[in-house]
Amino acid sequence: MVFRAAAARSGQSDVQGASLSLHGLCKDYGSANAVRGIDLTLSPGRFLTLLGPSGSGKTTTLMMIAGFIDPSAGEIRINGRDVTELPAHKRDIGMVFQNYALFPHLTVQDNVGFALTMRGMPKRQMHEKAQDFLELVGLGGFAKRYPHQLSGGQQQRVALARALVFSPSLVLMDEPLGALDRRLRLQMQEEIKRIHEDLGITVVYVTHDQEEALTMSDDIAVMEDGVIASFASPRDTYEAPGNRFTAKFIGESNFLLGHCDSCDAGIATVTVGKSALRVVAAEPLARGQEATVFVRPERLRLADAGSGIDNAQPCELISEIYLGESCIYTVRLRDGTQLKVRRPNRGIGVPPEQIADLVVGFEPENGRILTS
Amino acid sequence: MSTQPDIETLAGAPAPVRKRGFGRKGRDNRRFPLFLVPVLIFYLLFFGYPLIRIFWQSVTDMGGNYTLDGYRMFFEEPAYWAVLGYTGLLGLITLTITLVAGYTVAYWLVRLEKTWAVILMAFVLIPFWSSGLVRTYAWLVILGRQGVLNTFLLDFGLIDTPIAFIGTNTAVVFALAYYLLPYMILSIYSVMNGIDRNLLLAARNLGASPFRAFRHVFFPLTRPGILAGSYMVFMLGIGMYITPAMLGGPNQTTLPLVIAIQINEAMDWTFAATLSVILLLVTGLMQLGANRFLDFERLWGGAR
Repeated sequence: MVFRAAAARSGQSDVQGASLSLHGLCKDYGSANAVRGIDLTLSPGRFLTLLGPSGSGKTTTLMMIAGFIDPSAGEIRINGRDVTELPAHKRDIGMVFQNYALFPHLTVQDNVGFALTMRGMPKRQMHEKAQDFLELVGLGGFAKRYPHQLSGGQQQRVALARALVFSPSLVLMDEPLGALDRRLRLQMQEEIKRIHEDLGITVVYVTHDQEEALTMSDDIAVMEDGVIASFASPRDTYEAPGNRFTAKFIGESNFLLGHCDSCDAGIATVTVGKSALRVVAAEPLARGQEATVFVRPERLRLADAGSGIDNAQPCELISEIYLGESCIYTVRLRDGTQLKVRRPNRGIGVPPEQIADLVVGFEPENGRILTS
Repeated sequence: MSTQPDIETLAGAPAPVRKRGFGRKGRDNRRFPLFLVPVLIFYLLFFGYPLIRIFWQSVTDMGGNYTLDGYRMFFEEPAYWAVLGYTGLLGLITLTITLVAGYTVAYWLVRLEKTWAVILMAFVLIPFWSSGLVRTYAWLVILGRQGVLNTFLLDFGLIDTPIAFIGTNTAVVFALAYYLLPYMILSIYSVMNGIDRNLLLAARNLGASPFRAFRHVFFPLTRPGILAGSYMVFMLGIGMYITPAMLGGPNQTTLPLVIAIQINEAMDWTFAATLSVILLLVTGLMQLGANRFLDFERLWGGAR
């Protein structure tokens, strides 16, 4: 709540998130299409992550929202107001850049207060407010230093304070934690999350780190080739991805290609090779339709053929990777398909390497059917 | 150029740990670093000795006796002060022209697409690589009584009699500025090129109009390039011999010309050395003054 307190002290108690909507947003660079039609609506106060491999258009989308890149088509609305034609400096959007982009010739307090100076605030008042925000990111004693005298983590905090000092209702972050080491990154993730909740601002966050996306977001938009491949909560994105790309991009995944044999009462039977697998189907499937059965490694089980687990298929053990808290086993089915199985290291049950007649299986509700 | 800051490190990456002294941690730092001996010898041989030799020459006459005649001659004759003043003024005017033109060109180059920037940069570099003598002769060909410019103007009936360009301040200033412009462009361009584009985006994002982003962020960051270029152009400008000698008249006498006359015609090596020392002192003092005035510490972020 400290941030809210700071905002209140400086006379802006009702910092509130803005709503953001993109309609048919496109950007083409000559022949190449960087972004090919993005539609999304974000309610106030949400934390949206644009997740995708490099070249998927996530940064281009962010730059269009910030006003640094002119869209070729489509419109951007903030709080319902069309800002597509509004120049970047009039949008009042906070932004944290990938390499922080702190002004090397200005002190930390002048960096943080830059937006206030640009808004005509007198120097003394600007410094006071900058100081407030510096204290909130734990850098109260660093006001007079220059950016290059700070560590990467400290520079990151300055960049954060600078993006928040003018109480924007929408804040964009372009891989802000990419340059930090793992420990610091986790710490900053928590801090950003806390600030987001305290201030109630809307955040659009770009990353290619799936773990970061899962832990921080309210919504994840997975981007592929300039379009949104999936827009869902972190849980749904991971557990019920709508397509193969999303399933593959987030976490480890196993795919079994087959055809639908029958679909009855929400349970589909899919023929994969010689075996018939029973999987929960979210949508009805036509008989003979191509279907991919998707199972996460931690949802697969290895057991003895006599144990009677669901969807059991005989397999042989190929390799084992020991991860401490769990083991990843690679097994091969009779038709040559390889599957990854994650087995938690709980110290119960028979280790797979000691099972003579090994089968791999899963419960129908732990599999998903993907048709695209 | 070693004084230029590395903008990229300033802008983004974590501050590097500065190592003090020469040796690595745990070694004896007080021991003299032997690997510096060749460098030291080089410096003494090619920079130290000639400098001392010139100072020595300025206070000894041809017979090798101590004398202050050279300095007396300079300070008792206002004509020499006038030459010094003219030389400095010429340097300043040249500096102003190259600065305005060079900054504009560098700014334009740095904003161009990479391919075009490389091609156009070559046009800056080619004259830079070619001989100063040749380029000064080219001006002679252009500006001469029967030169390209006069012929053109006469043919089009714009003038009746050829204009005497040679022997004017304009000719000298333009030729000097032309000769020195690449130094200015290169100094400024290299600094501009190192500026993180995101800094300007950040400024825009924080509410700065394009002009204010330039004024508050871009321009301050280019100051090291402006300084480096200005020093180089001014120093080279006041030391130039060929251009004022070939394109100037009696009224365009600069200090290097006087020095040359002392050596070639008057055979007064003492006075020539004296004038060299004075030129050196003036430039040194100006540099010191500029350092103080421009406050490098603040300019480059405090730590340098």
